[in-house]
Amino acid sequence: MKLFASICLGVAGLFFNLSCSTSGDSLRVLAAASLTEAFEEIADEFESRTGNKVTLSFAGSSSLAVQIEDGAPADVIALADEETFERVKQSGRLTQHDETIFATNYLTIITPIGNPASIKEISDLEGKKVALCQEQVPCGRLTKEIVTSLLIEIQPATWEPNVRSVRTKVELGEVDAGIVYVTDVTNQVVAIPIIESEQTKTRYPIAIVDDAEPHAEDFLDFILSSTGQGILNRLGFGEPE
Amino acid sequence: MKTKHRPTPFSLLATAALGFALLAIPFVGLAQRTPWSSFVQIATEETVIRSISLSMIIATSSACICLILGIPLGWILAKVEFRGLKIVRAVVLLPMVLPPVAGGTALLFALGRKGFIGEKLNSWFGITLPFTTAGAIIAATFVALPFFVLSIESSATELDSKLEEASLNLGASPIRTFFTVTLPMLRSSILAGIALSWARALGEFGATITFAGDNPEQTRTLPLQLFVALETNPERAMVIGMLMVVISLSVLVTLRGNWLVRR
Repeated sequence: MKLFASICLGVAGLFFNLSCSTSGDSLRVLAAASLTEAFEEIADEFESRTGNKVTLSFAGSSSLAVQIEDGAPADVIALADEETFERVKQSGRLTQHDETIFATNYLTIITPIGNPASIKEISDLEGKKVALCQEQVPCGRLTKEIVTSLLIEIQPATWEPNVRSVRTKVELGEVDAGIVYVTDVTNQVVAIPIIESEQTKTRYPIAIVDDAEPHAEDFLDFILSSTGQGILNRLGFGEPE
Repeated sequence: MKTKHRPTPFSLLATAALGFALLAIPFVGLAQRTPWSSFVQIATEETVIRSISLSMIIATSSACICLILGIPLGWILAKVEFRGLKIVRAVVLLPMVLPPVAGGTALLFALGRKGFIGEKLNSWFGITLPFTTAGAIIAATFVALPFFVLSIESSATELDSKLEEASLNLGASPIRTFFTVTLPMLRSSILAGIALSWARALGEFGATITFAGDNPEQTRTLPLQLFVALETNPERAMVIGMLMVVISLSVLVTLRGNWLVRR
């Protein structure tokens, strides 16, 4: 009986502790899936320079939008396009600060090593087994924009929830090709450029969520600093335009 | 409040109520946010109807496969003694506790286009399972089969083998005994197994999206449609969520707890 009671107390205490979202003074950053490596590197650098902890959480931009709308704790949010950002603004949690564009990106075709379906250009994707981003995520919207403007009909084998799962399906050879950002290209895939996509860039906005930790501004400044921009450029992101 | 045997201690009652609330409250939240006035209209949208019928096809095919594979498997686990029985049982039950996305990944490495079996299927027969309804059925069966097997095994263990022995002594072959004596005795747990595996297959998400992807014509079942709708059309997401609650709840109520708990 005593044991039971003390377990109950212990659980209650732990639960209370874990439900307080302020995990120390760690900065909570929500970022688009395509920013994974870049932000991990930037956060490491930021932590070692300032001693401030950064907690990163990555997902498709539209998932992040839903998280913000549902009140997920966050100090900084970085998305892969401005359309989704407009939607996040409606949540009323981004009233104190304006957003800044900190990077740009554009799309490319990728195929498994050896390009088994001999894809040479975007029109070759018609009738092939292709993975695309779902249309509500920025890479999906961008893909749709390009495909429609070129009057191509692609019937994808699968609509993936974010750009990284498109890449995985290509890396595993489950599809003949996929469309991802140029920054998602690895040595596990072959990139085939889409010439038209260089004019259809997406711009990445970043903003501080209302009532954020004071370090949030330092983190944002760091991303815009030459160090932050250097990391982004090295990983293939374009400069803000 | 009265119980069947003796008065219930208040502390147990209160804790139990808390447990029940934890399970029930989310559905109250869902029901309260569901746009009831446009429920029928949203539930009959073309995309939703397509997902409903895909879900029905996939769950029903999956339950049929469970029926065929699960009865022998459950019966053997209950009745046959062999080395490695414990390991076999653990492997059979593994999908119940494994995150479905891990199951989906494993399926991809085995049955995907580059998987060690999938590669042969592709080069010998031209069959590729990922992104097809067949692939979604396999993913659903992977997670649903353990529920069926467990249902059969638990009642087969308790089965009185006198009738089976009598049948054998009267000269019936073991396989005839199985079909004419054993199976009828397992009737209620077979029905429970069908209902449970059907309901589990209906709700499958993780293994499906990992292995079978999200293809609107082939694999976008109700849970996948819900996932997409959550980010594009929250009202549709709520309606689908509520639909699934109603369907699954009716299956469980029909079962009347007739699973593991013998009354």
